[in-house]
Amino acid sequence: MAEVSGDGPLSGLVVADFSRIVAGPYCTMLLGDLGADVIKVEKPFVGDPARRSGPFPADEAHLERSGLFLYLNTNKRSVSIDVLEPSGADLLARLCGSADVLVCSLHPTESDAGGLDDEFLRAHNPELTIARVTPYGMTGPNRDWLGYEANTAAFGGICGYLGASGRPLLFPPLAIGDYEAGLNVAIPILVADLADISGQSIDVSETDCWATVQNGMGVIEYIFGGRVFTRMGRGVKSGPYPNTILRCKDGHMRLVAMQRSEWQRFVAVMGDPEWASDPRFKDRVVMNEKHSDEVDALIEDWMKDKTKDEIFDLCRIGGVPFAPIYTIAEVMSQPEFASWFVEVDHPELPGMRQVGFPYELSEAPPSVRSGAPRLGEHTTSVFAELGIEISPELRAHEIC
Amino acid sequence: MPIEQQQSPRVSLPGANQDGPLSDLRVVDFGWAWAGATAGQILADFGAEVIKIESRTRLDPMRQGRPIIGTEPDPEQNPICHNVNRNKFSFGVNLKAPGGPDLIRDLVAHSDVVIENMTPGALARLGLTYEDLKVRCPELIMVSLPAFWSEGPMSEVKAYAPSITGVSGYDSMVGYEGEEPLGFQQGLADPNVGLHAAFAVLAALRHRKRTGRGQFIQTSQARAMLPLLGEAVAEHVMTGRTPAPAGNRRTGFAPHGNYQTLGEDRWISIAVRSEREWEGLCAALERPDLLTDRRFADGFARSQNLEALDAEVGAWTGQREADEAVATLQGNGVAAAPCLNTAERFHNEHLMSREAYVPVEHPVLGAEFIYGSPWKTSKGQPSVWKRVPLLGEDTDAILRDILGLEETEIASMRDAGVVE
Repeated sequence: MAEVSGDGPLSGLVVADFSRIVAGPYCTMLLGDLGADVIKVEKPFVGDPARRSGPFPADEAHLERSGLFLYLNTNKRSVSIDVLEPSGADLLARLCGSADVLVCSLHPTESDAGGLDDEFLRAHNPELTIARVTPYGMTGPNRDWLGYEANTAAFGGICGYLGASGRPLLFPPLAIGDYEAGLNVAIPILVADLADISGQSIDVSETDCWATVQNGMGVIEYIFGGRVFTRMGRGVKSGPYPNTILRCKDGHMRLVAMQRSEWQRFVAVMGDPEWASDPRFKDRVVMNEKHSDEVDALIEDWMKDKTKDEIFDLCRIGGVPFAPIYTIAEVMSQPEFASWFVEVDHPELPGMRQVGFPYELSEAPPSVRSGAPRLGEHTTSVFAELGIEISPELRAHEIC
Repeated sequence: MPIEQQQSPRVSLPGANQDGPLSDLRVVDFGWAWAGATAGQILADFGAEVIKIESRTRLDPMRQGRPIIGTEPDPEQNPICHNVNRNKFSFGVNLKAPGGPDLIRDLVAHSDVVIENMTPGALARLGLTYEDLKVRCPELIMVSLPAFWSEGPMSEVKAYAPSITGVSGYDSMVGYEGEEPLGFQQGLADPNVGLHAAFAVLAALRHRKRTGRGQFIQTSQARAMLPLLGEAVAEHVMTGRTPAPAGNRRTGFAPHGNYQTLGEDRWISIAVRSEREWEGLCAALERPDLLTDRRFADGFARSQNLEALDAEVGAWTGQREADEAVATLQGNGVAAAPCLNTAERFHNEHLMSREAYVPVEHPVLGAEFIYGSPWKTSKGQPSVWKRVPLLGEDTDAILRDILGLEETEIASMRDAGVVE
């Protein structure tokens, strides 16, 4: 197949991708940004559900203007096939015949119903790497459970760490579990490629991601100490004060000072207020357990007429490890972070500013070669490369 | 030179993994605390020979803490260390001692990858930057993952790990709807950057395999958070709105939340997106009246009446045990899952079957469980193949087998405190 790869380190790697929404698409975005040729398979007429999730410019829904879709799907070509129809599934298998990797996020029950098992998908290419990302994995008692990202965060154990005592557990915002799952599936894909493993099947469970590498360490503390951590609100009341978030003039600051010397330097930054030498505050662990509310108020009083940036500057000069809680708007306006964003020309939205690459590589850097594709934009051309005519019949039945 | 083209085969350390897909790879791991250690752990999980550089003269935070057995601080008793440093080897080197950095340069000459997340400038002072190390290892792949950035004003910022989710913008969205940010109360930036770094290293290895050329990869814990925020950035760019804490709400879902059940502080998550799932929810609750309630007539209506909706759902869950409620909901085609705490995760049948936590034997702590890995492969090896090394456990083998030193040289280095 003619390659539409970049010069990045993954140039020449061909990825067939019929994953949807976030997890699989983030995996293939990571691959595509580093030069892989990603062919995204979407359902005809409706496309990836992310095309409907927004956000949208001026809140006006449009299939080619969904912020989430545009962000995740740069550097990909779009082929529209209904893979859950038998003739669509055949087209997918033929597409896989020319690919190195297939990324799939179908729920296990959907794969079962559509007959899209590994054997079928490898019909034209026994060496194909098949990478599946699902809520609970392809095996196990919960394999067939329905699960959205919120559910996988809950089951994976992170919700217990988020929120305030006595109030509902919080989900991590922005479906980050999906991103972590996508990242986790991208890793064994590259290992299989590097080690020339033929016909590798990869099964990544989003709940496993939370339960292991993201947040698995608490288990060993539980086994040895019996300790089960739970949410504490904005301030951690164990250990030395401070370990909290406090309010300032234009927002909030994160205050953490493990070392006594750091706390002392902050007291100096505040101008050595008398209250800081109150004997009740001598032991910072006691201060945290018994007097944190009182000290929080005293510090907030000092911070109330100072902005985040002012306090950040004072802390940096004064050797105090406190940092601002930036809003998204503030992150986007920091000059030091400017290169962390890119502008992409999408078919309907040229010059859209969006998050760029998480890393820089000196020899073969990531790049934006194309904006997100229009739905089905490349169906004809991709199948022409494979020597497959898309019959009017297939189109009439909305298979393709 | 690329692994396949080496003229003389490398000598593996005793205990190295011979069968993993990355078993030919050697990694020098300067990873400090969690972030850098995770990057090394991922490669080690696939069989790479990952050598952790450490010293009693400057203990990794994960070698510190209250001991589990006894009262004396013990670098072998931090259970978090046992997780992220499993499958690795430990080279006890004092980088501040004369000769210490030389040993590292020698080791890197026999290695493929270097991982570091030190304070910016530290490696330059030791003569161990990419430019320094490339001299003896031209195809070196090196990845740097400091907290904020490696140069410019942010390189001088000292802040603890929880600050990273704040500086990156994520904390500003964590909290109850309309209230102040509570921030993410668990490490997130650390494993996230470790995984991204490992992925980038693997991509660079592919490039090296094809071209013979290594490269330098720069990321940071703050920068690697940004991809997770793509949707929020899009929201701001497209609508001008600045995302703020929204509790458990998510556009397109109603209901979407955590609901309390019977038991102490027990909650289940429920997320309903489609009309079919909504019908399933009403069936599970045995509330056909909700189907004809105008407040909940469709997704849009439900999104306008979330409080009332939550009250109905909460009234039902509040009278049931979590597992029973989840079973009923799943049986009716509704996405629901219990919020598991640490103890529940450890004992959970599904997670057990996925080998989320695997047993290892440790010389000091005895039988322990560490986390496995989230990927299962058809043609693969177990992810956990070796326990965490004791500090300096492999120093002798490294000096002798990889660097070719004699026993007398090794002994004098120990005496001088260069190695441990």
